[in-house]
Amino acid sequence: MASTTLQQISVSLDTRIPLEAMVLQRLRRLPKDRQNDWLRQLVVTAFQSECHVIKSEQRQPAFSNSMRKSSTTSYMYSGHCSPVAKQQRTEAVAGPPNCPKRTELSNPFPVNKAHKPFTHLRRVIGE
Amino acid sequence: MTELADEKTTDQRQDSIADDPMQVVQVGLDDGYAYTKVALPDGRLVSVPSRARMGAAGVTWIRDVEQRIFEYETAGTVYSVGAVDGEPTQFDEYPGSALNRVIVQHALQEAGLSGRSLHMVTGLPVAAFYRGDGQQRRQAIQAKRDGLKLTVEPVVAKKSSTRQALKASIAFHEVIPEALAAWYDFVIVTLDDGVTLDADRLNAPIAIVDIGGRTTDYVVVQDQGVVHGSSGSLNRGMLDVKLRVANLIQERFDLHELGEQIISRAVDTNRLRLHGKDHDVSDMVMNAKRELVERLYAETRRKLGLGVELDRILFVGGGSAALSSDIADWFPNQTIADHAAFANARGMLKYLQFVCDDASKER
Repeated sequence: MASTTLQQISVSLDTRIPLEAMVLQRLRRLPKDRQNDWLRQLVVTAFQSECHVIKSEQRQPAFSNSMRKSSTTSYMYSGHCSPVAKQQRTEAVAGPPNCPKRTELSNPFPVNKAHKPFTHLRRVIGE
Repeated sequence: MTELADEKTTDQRQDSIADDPMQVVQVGLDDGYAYTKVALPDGRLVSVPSRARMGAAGVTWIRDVEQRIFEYETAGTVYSVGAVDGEPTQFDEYPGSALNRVIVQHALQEAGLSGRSLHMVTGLPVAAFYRGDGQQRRQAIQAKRDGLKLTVEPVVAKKSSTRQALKASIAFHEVIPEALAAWYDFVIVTLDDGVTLDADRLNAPIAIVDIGGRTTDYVVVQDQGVVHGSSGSLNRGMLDVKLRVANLIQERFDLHELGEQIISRAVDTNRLRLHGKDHDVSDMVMNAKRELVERLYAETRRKLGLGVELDRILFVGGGSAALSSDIADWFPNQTIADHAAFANARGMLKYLQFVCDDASKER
């Protein structure tokens, strides 16, 4: 049974290529009984990431390469950081050299009383 | 302990925040069995050892700045917190105990929140939060929620003390599963000009392994839901290293008793000072760590298999930082979180800021 389901493949790695040399070096550092597991996972993970790339290319054909590489952003919310707070932060960082050591902000812990942007994520915890 | 090896633990009490004391402060607080970690909206991360014992310190501090033991009173009992030989925190009722309460109050004082009103999110280990079938343990969650809202008063030892020691009051307190907090930290990304959800991380199957003081938590999140079959807690953590080293030291040096702080120092520095002489105990520390790592490896494989179906395995918790070299090659798709000891506290803060509803109900 095992002989039919388990297929062995052989791969040659070139030590002159830095990344391949690193893989070999990493492999040799592992205990013998974990080397096979590790290599198998390496292959599967690489394949998974290739699948992701293919999938995202199918979904977003119009995007440029650089857009594809960047992480997807589904929602952008900037309500928690008011322009005043931003200005205060800038002042705190870029004050003149002779200004007091500690810039007093009106409130270093602003509480966002507006609508919370990701309330739907509460359901992850469950009932 | 070495649990916070990659972190700077604040040794000095922060100045109180000079602003409107009526303003509510949001806090993410991970009250672990070994360390209590605080994340604040201004970006500060504060950590104190979860170390306290019943009774007054019995020390008069001549200068406030030298003070290393602080007293707190709750339910008519005085506790000493700080540089004391702490009582063990490894018991199931710790999250709702008075010991926990005074340590949390001390951490809040250290974070400069004296006299402030707080909205706070804390956590429970996954197995203490969920039953095996995935239902929430409502009673335990409520007990924790209520426990931290009981009054803890800082005791000012000297009337002449210049330090203001007002209690930090918790007006709203929510409890979430500890390792899941790290998932919120992972998917909610704060930027200079706002906050965003990382959609790739949000939808990918991810496992969080949280190596803490007493427990190691596992949470697998897929399609924005917890996979309970692969989630849970193992009662093993960095405090087991300390216990094992304590036993080995007692055996080698034929000692009956040794202070908890001395053992902690020995684990941190690999050296034990007895009768004014240093002894190398690195072999004991190494053996104790190896035993823990082997146990964790077996449990991790049992929970997550080879991790083939997971996009990523994220290691968090102080233990992940302390054992980083031992766990480095468990999965090819693994990552150790930045400032891993604070991942839960950061996630709790983000949950409070962007997810949970604390405006309408103060519970």
